[in-house]
Amino acid sequence: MTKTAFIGLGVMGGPMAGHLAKAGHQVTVYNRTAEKAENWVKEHGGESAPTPAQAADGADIVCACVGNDGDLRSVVYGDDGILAGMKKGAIFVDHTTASATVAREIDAKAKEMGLGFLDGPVSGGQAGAEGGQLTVMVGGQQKDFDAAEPIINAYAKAVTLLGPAGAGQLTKMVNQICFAGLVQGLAEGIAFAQAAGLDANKVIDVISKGAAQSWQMDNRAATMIEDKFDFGFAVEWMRKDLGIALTEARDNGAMLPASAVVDQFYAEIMAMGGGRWDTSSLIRLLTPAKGRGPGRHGEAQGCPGGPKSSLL
Amino acid sequence: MSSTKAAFIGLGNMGFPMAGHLSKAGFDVTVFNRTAKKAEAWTTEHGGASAETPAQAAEGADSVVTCVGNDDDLRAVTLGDSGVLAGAGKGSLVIDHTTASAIVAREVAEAAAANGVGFLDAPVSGGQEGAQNGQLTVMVGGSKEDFAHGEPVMRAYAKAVTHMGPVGSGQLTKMINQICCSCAIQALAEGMNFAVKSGLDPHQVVDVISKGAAQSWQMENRGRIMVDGKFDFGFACDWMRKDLGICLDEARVNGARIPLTALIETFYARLQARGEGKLDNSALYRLLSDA
Repeated sequence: MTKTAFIGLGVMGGPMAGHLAKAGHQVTVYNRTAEKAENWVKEHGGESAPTPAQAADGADIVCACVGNDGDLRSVVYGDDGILAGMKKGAIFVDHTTASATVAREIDAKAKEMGLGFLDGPVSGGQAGAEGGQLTVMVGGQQKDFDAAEPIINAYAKAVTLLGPAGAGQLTKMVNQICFAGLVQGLAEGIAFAQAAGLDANKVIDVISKGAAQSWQMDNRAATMIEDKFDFGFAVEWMRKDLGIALTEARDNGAMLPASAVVDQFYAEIMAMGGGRWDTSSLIRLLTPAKGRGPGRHGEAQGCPGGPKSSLL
Repeated sequence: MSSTKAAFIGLGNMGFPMAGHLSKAGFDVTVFNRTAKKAEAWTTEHGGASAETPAQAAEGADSVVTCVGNDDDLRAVTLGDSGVLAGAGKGSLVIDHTTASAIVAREVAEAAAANGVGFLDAPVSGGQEGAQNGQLTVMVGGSKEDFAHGEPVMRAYAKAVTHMGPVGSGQLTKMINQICCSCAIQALAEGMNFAVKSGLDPHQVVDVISKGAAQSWQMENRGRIMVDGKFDFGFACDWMRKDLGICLDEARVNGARIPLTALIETFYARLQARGEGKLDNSALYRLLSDA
């Protein structure tokens, strides 16, 4: 049994912390909205603390999973922050998808204080968190990785150290870059199939056997064809992630022409009110009946049921 | 006309092994190729006969299979005095494996129908390797009767043969395949180059992220080798650009918007301008990596 703390009990953090408890670790939780922390304790036992610092007090491993760079800084720094509460030699594992800059910044601060730090963004979504089947991409030092890996395994199927602090975040950016252009390609393909009068499901069955195959094609094509987006990984989160990647690319000199275009498409989806829709909703911008294009033209003529223009 | 008598027109990288599988499957194959030397090489290896014109090759054949370069090549071998349709007998079937436009498919189908000849547009995926192993995927447009006629022939070199709808549907399905492929490759190229610029080990990155939602056939089969700078194999940029041109033309007609595909088509144009058109289509990476 290891003494652990978990900061941030959202749709990801809640079940991740639950797996820690189930694995027999002692868990003290903190959440900005205290009610969630209370509910978590009712379900899983353990304790809740009124500040991140108090949650981290005495723990060997402190995990966090919050929204973005700003949220992360607010739970990490200051008198009530995680670092203030940690004991020497303890390790902070951050699962937030954030910038590599903030990861390096926290790493430097942690080192000064004699603490370990790992940036460990995850993939696998809510289902992966609930099933304890996340993929964790880790940046940091080998000795910290070796110490934390057995704990992280409570909610992960794969945990890989990719390099020094920041490397986990950078790998997650590569993941989101590969994902974004690919979903757009799938959206264009399906919209084309529909415009051509083909049975889109049948087309996907055939082409998913070959070089056009992707996880997105296998797992999102059918719901895109059904026009179903009220699930999955939200557009607003993807936009946050692409923003991080585009900013990093400005520093490291990588060109991201397709990713930059797709980021703009996501901005358009958000303006349509689709911030909570699954990322596969890119197809909404291509299907005239439901998205814009001719639909927008129809709206200008007062066509009832037309979509709201993003320009409004 | 014997049901096992077939003709094969076009013995390129794809057609040569496909015709070979037909012969191995017991068909009596007569071949035609624009460069006669290749036809001789084929008959030396596989037996059968070679003919001087597509029309002569098609004479007496139950099925005439074509696999040439583009719309114009297809018109050249099917229409006109020495074309396939001038030699093909009533009740025979033309199966075209060229990746071409839906427009030329409908045009040749109409000319064939006027001669009492059936027609299937049947572009393939699986590449040269699929052709050599007889493991192609075939996307077919045409009538049900023609499909039933042609399917046993195509089985000689395919692992999957699917009827997608009326004439042109095979070509349209292949276009969707190319739209999805090109966007996946560009996204992968951006991701891999970003990994390199970030100082990560790109092979290890592929190992990790190919387990999740970013996974694709392209990532598993092209991610590592694009970073290693290996492009002298596979499906040429020249061919991809041809295919995307067909997609963009068709999209103008059917109203489908394909913004990212249109952008990527211009990247292939740049590769061609750099003299890199023969490289594998994963060479999109080279525009990002300063190679």
